[in-house]
Amino acid sequence: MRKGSTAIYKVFLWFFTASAVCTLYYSFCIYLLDITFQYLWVIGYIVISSLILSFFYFIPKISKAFAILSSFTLSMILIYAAKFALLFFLPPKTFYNLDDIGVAVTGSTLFLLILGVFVMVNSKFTALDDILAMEDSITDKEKYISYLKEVFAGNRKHRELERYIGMAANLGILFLMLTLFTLMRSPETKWVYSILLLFYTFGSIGIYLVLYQMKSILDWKILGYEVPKDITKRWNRIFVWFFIPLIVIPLAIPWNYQVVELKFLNSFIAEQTSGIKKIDFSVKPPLSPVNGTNTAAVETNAPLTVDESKTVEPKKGIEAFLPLLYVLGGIVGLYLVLAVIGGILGVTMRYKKRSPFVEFLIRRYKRVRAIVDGILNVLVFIGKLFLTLLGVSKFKSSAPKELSSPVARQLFALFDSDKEMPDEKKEEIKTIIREFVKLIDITNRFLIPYRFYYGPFEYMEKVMNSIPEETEVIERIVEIFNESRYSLHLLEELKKENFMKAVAYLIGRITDTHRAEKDRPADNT
Amino acid sequence: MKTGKLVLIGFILLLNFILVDFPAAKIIIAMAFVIGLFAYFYTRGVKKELSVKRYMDTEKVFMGLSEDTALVLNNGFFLPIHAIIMHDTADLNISVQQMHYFFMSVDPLETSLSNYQLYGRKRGKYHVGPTRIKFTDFMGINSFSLEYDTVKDIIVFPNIYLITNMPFKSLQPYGSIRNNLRIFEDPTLIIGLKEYQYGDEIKKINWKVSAKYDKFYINTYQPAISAGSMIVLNLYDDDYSFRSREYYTEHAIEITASFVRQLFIYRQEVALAANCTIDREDTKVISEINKGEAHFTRLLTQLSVMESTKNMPFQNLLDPSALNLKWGTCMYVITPRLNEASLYKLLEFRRSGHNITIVNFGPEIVKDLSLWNVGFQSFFAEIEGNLINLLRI
Repeated sequence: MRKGSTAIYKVFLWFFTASAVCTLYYSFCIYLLDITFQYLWVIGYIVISSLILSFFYFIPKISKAFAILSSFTLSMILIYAAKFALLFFLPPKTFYNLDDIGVAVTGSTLFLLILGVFVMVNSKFTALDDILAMEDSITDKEKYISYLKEVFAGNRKHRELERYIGMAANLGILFLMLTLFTLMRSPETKWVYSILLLFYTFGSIGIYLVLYQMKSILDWKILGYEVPKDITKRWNRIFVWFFIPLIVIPLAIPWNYQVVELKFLNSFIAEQTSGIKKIDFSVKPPLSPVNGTNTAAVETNAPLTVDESKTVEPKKGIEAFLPLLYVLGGIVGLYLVLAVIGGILGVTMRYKKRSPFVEFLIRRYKRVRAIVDGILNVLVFIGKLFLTLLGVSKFKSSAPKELSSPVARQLFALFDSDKEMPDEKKEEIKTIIREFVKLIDITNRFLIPYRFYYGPFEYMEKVMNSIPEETEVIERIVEIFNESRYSLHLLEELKKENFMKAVAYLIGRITDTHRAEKDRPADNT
Repeated sequence: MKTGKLVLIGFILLLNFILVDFPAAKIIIAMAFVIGLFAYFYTRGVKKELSVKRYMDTEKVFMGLSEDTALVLNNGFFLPIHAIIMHDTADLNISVQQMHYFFMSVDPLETSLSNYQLYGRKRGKYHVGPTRIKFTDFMGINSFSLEYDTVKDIIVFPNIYLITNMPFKSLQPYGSIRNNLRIFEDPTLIIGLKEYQYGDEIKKINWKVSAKYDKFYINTYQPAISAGSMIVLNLYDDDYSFRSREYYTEHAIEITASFVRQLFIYRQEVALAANCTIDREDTKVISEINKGEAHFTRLLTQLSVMESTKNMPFQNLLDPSALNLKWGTCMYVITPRLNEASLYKLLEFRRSGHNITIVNFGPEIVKDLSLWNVGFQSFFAEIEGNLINLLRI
């Protein structure tokens, strides 16, 4: 059933791994070795090694360790064979002569990098594939579905693709930024980068498509649908239909031009990024007997974009990366500004309807806050650990945030099977209860007094009677509250968000009405 | 969550697009557009070219029997549909579950058939449908959900029992009264042949026999008039003021249906009159006297959708002008109780030349309904298994 998908996946995984490692390697060559084409043949090594690994890794009959070992051995044999073949056939100017140790170091380092990227990307596929493959070994389908539910109970993230998308996006951002600076500095590298980045894009899209297919099938199985066995056949046929225009149309429209030529920017970047050779693995050719200079080095390392009459003093050390740091700093700064605005808006518009843009800003704020909290927690932990080691204080792990109000505790106490609950679920329930209690506080103050023996729905029914126009919102709140409290699964993010919004809206509505009533002039009659 | 990152990628791509001569940036931006457009047009095409139809052999189901309902999903699009989820709604009284889920994958320009069984468990009018479709494209970008009007009303007929001892000994000739006037000759009842004489109707010639004997022979028919029967059903709530009201209301309808069926088997003309509620409206159902399969089905359909009434007493139904009965029509009155007003009305019918048979039912035999002395026939209908025993009160 999944053979076709696995084959497609293998090809795209190969594209992804090879192009990612090649781009990293190529950028490394340009920035740290300050060479552009001399080691281009190594790209061939990376591509073939990735292919070998992709081939061996998916042979079901051999163990993964053996597959990796075989791939490594074969790759090393290949790199040595390539070295001798290149030495024999090609003129020595086209590449740096690596000695045998240099070849071994380069080959194994690159293989490790390939393996790292490969395993990282492949982990999601392996996880999904293993679970789907398990179905064939379990005869009782109900058992299989209950097993799936058990595995994914309370943790929907296990089958989400966000991690993969995040990783692919992060690498994509890195590659694009590297490309931008490299091309400003050395425009002649545009073809290599273009090919690598196109393969990277294809690989990312292809892997996403296959993973999404597997994830969707798994989702449907968990929901209890009878998924037909030939579903992947049709699905893969759509992939073919999809990839034809995806390749043909973008290549058919013009792409070889520059919209704006900013010479000053190019020369500025060239100046800023003209880093010196930090690492030189090459065995340098003998000095010229005529004037005593290294001719190969001069030929290969001459600045390429800058006017030759103008000598550019190469920047040293960290200075070579300053423009990159400026850009990164700019992005981080912009992000922080957005987060601060989001934080302010979050407070001021707490109980008001928010536009999607405001929501976007508030999300930035929450993200930054989470990061800052995380860093603070780590610092506090280290501090406490340090004090404990010095014997100044006793180390205590911080207790999870507990519910403070008695109503919240009562609502949480209704919950019987908390021992079987994952901590993530407990936290979710507590968050929902906290919000619900906020609402109860307001309704208790302005609408109907809350009595401790009221059930959530019972009380909310009374609230509904006093504001019948908001029945729908209240029903939604109670529904999500009940789902969260009585179920074992985690709520969808969207549902949680809707709950928060509904509570905030209702609180705003009640307080506004109360304020308006308060401000209304007294009836003199 | 990843929107921010994708926006950032877009931004850097745009910088690459504008500031440097980087073919890949142009191609990737074009790719992004192609991805978006392909996903959009694929979803749109599927949405536009998709159709769902329901097929059923019949919309009328006998209680206890199952009937297949089929949903045909047609993909008129030139690309395959990788996955589509179809939900069909059915009333719990005719189906084991309220929602039927189907997961389908359809080839281009092909159809996919899904079916399930409906099982009439309770008399009434129920509906199946509508059918909902959920679709998400192969990338998870676009999705839609559509509702198709596949609603069909399903009528579940009441349970029908065999009546063991139908009251034949009554004064009425069970639908046919012998009559000497030729005008009432029944062409379905041939009693013999005779040689053709001048003045006989040509349409009476029996051509087969005439050809055999080389002489004209004509059919002679049994002269008869059709008296017919009317089944009068009392569904007034107050007359059912005992414990299991709904149970006995169902009994009343089942007994009526059984009588209709029995008379249908005897090829008799039959009509139905009832005070009831249909679609939450109090109404009097008075059908015409007729015979045949279509009429039988019509009466059963009416019986299937009836409910008891709170505002229409039985005596209101017994209005001679409304019932408009021919002389000699036999009336079967199916009621758990009979009040004085209704009794007087029935006596009026008796005086007008109709034969009245009271069929009583319920938790106990009402002896007051023993009305043989006033010329009525009175029976108590006892249901045992698949049979109705009519016990003389």
